Amino acid sequence: MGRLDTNIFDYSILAIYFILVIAIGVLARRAVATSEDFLLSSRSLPAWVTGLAFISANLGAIEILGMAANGAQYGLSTVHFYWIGAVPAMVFLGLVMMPFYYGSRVRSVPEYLKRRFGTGAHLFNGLSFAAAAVLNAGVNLYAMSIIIEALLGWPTWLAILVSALFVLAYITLGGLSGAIYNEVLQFFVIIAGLIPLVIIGLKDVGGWNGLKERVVAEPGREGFFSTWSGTGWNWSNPLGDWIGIVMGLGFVLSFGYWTTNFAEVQRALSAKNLSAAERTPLIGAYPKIFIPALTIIPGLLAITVVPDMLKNAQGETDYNYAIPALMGHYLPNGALGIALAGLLAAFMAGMAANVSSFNTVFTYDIWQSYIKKNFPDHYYLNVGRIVTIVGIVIGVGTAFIAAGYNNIQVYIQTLFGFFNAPLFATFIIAMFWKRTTPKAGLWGLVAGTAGAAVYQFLIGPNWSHMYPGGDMSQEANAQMINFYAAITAFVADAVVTVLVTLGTKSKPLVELRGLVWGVPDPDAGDPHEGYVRRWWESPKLLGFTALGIVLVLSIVFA
Amino acid sequence: MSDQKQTPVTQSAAAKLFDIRIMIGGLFVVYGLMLTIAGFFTSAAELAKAAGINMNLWLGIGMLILGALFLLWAKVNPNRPEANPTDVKPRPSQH
Repeated sequence: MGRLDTNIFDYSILAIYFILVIAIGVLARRAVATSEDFLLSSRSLPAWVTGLAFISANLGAIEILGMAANGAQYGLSTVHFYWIGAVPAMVFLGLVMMPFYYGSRVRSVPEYLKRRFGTGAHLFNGLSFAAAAVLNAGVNLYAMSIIIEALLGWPTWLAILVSALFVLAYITLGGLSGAIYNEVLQFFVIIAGLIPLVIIGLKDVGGWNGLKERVVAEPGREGFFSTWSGTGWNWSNPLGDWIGIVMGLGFVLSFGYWTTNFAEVQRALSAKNLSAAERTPLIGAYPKIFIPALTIIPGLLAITVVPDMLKNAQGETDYNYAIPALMGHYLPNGALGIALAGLLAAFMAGMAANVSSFNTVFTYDIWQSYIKKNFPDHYYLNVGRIVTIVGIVIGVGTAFIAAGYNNIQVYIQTLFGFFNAPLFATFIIAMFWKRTTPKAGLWGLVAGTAGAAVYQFLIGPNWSHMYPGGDMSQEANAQMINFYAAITAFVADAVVTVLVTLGTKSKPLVELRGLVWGVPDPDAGDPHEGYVRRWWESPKLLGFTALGIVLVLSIVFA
Repeated sequence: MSDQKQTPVTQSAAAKLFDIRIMIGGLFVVYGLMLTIAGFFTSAAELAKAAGINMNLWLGIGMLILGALFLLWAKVNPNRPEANPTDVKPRPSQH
């Protein structure tokens, strides 16, 4: 990957963007007077803002570059990460789970566990989430520094410090509102940056059919334009068999991430009423359905148009350069600046989403819950600001942990397997089985996390089913191991949760009001406060339309 | 919303939050103008590089339109952060 041919025009575009990023932080500062203003935007934002922030918080650098890399490596099968692997879970979050989160007025996902289960499960989840969030922030920073070094020639350490400082400025000033507003802005800029690549690229290779002919002509890429072929038990699909894709990715990992990851759920909790909160993930689902066109197509274009450019500084093949390589190959100065601004903004958004959820969990769920209780609100506002700075500093340090992995996505999936996979089992049982006991909440999570790790390191590598063609002399399929590890985590969590529940004492129902299905909180008023006024705001309509589009697209591109 | 505050001492300032639509609209209008103007001076080499598409011009026009739409929306429906005041009215609980 060579340097981009940037000039003063591109740098002007970047400068304008970065000035605006800081301006958003400074202006949002005026709306921060309490800790809830700072950490939760005081539940004041409209649904379109929280919905775009919901998707943008996930549209960080890892998503964009990683998914383009997957497109280059696996072909159209990568859509599984979007369609089966995201949209159904987003719809489920909006339609089924949001009333429990938003309606119970919890301030974070761990706080839900605190009220549902008490200390054990709460601490376990709060601490593991905080750890995962700073790790993710670090991964984003690392990825950004490598790309900036390759594209602009800035040294790694400078890129890390400069971008961390910008994120620091706009979050410590504007809090969650600053982060969310920047996410919304970034959403439009990154889309504006990626669309030209797809348009020029497709014209260059002779449209969709031209791209297809060129890609499948290469040996080993015959299956690149189908998504479900080779997913039988004797699998040959690059993502493995259907059990892993449907159950591991589509059910466990996807639901675990989208419905319990506080970096996502926090965006919905900042919505101004329950209806807006329910619509947050549903509005986010629509961009999610179509974003693969802006990531997978560039990945496929890159392996046909600029295959020699997909190399890192050591000269090894690195598909994460698919999008930057195409930017350098196709874009004139100006459009190049927009794409670069979008990419840098996406890096910052990926980091900011993690830091702005980390500071909330740390402030409310760790500091206020266990260390300094019952202080005035102003105290926790200051704690939130300090924790933000600490989180960014740890993130900078963490950036280098990621250095040992070449496919960033795999690394992230590994994290999800350990932390997120068991979560969905615990949440779904907790929300729908009122008998579930506090001890079961804790030990289910512990068992699930352990199950994921055991599968990842002990079982998966020793089972021939994880290897392409069952040939254990080759390298095991990393995605297969991740997906099956997630299934293992889910099963271990569910089994232990049920067994422990049967042997321990439940909480009295009066303490579970508003937290569990079938146990309404009589003081909460109408659960659909802010009820649907206009037909297009119906959560069910939005949700099922999204699922319908996914179904049609899945059949068309099967 | 402010009725959620535990401490009466500090009131939420969330109502002072500015309107992001003006930021998005403003940025896209500025970018759109820059790119559209640059699009009139696209060199033959840049045109060949981009498979014959004058990308700056088209992207510029597109961004200009999107930016204008955001500014228009903010002007037509300026209520923020409560875009629709009926959202926050308490409702009698009934099924």
